[in-house]
Amino acid sequence: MNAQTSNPQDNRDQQEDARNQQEIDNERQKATDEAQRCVDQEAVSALKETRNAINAIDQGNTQEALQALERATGKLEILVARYPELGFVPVSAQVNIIDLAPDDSNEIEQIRNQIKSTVNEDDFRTARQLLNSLVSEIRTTIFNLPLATYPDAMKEAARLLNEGKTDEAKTVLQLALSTLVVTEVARPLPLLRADIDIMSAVAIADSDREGTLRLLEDARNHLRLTQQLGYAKGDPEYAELEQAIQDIERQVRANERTADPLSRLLEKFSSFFKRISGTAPAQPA
Amino acid sequence: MNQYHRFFRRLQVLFVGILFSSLLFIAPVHAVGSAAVSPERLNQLDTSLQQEIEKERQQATAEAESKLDREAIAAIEETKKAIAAIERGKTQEAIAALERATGKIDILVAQYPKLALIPVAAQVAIIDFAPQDFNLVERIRNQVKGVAIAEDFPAARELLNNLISEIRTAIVNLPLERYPDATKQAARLLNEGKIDEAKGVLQLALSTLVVTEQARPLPLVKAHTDLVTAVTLAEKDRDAAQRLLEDARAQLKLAQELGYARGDREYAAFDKAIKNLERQVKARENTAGAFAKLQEQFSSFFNRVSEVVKPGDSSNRAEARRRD
Repeated sequence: MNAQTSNPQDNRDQQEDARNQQEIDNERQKATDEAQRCVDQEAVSALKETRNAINAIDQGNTQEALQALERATGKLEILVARYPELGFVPVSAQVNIIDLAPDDSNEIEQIRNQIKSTVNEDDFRTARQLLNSLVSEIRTTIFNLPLATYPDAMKEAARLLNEGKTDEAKTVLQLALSTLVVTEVARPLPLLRADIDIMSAVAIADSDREGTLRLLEDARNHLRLTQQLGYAKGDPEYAELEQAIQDIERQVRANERTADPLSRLLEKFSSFFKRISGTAPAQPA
Repeated sequence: MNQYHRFFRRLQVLFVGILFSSLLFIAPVHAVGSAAVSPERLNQLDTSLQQEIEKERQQATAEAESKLDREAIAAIEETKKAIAAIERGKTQEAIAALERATGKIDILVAQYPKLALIPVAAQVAIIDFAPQDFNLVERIRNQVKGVAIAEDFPAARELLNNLISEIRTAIVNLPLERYPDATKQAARLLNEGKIDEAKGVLQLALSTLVVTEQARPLPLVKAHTDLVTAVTLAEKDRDAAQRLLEDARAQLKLAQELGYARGDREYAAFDKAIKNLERQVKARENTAGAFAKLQEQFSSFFNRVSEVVKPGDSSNRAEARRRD
């Protein structure tokens, strides 16, 4: 019943899948560590005190609410003094793998055409749905406290509390809490997969010519997929990387040594990946 | 407070999709004032608008909750228990949990053989990023078109988020076609001692729940509130009623500009009907009948525009399921 597969090709595919998964997990962990490092504990405390103030207002304890707001304001003043040029201070982060894009180029092409026509028809809801189906990335979402306005909101709430306007004060605090600014960083998964392909190719370049060629072809396909999904689509480096891979494929076929060119390619890939995965701040309307 | 209100409105950026995995309910409320109404009426309208939005949000939440299937939720819980058991090295416990999950899903499949998606969680959020300024909306729309032609899809996604003004219901569904296979495959892998592979299969199954969405456009909620408030003021404050009707037309136009059923011919019919009302109010004519008719038409238009976006319509399926 449970026939075991002993086909070497299947085993190799399974190993590659496992390695891919491992590398993607590593990248996610890296993204999570980076995101957590940037969270500011003072700003987190200021948020907590804001919630304490709201709870105190709900319990009818105005004095306690004022004290919580004083503590929040104190923390925020320190933040403003420490980072006078900073607009946003990170208070929490989330990292998710979102991989909804199809692998099939024709299907992607179809979705891309549909996006263009729905945008053209101003059918933005459908366009949004279609655009979301072209996402393949490790997404880091950072929630930031806006330093330009948040401290003023705390002071305004304290003033309203002093005037006995508790409902208005609560509204100001709730509004401030619900208007954290979100910034996002996307690490394109196909590009990461191309990077993994090149890494694997480096490892087997001297021992397995066929395997190396297959991995290089996969890398080219992943690179093309990244571009098709619109990640820095117009970047001229795509063509350069594609050309570099093709050159190495030719060298592999000619039985030339490829260790050095592959290492250089890997370096280029890594720096391209980092550049493409740059921070994309959420833009105000 | 208004200065914060305005500034924060510009900065509001809510996340929805990434929270789906945590299967939480969130419902932040951002109420927005109506620009065309005089200051003395503003507070009154703000309050009624907030109430209306809150009412709509509650209705959306109640509707979403009523569609959730307890058996499917239990199947997901059992899947999570199986993963936890695998992590503790308790293979037998994991297999038992998977048996329970599979049993529940098999019953669901037998019960609803035609159903592809079963709702297991829902989230209702008010997302209101869109500017009220038509020129700004126009500018963003042009930018969206530009980046779409250039195939800069990440930029298109971000720009389109700036045109959202809606109460969004997101329903997380268990795909009946694939989920049962995953739990069975995981059980087989566990029996073969392939613990990591089994865990991988289960984690993948949990991460591939299907999300469907429904959007209730906020400008339409606002237009409706304007109309209702205008009815109450028509007799005693004609000027205020006129301004509210004018604002209702502006909100309708905004809904259309933001792409909510943009090509729908009923927009023009409403614009005309409201203009007629404006004329009647000005001429001190009796408007009760016309208002009532308009409100009725408006409600059915609102329901139609607020239908689920995706073709994999979970709400319709849930309705169909109840009728089975």
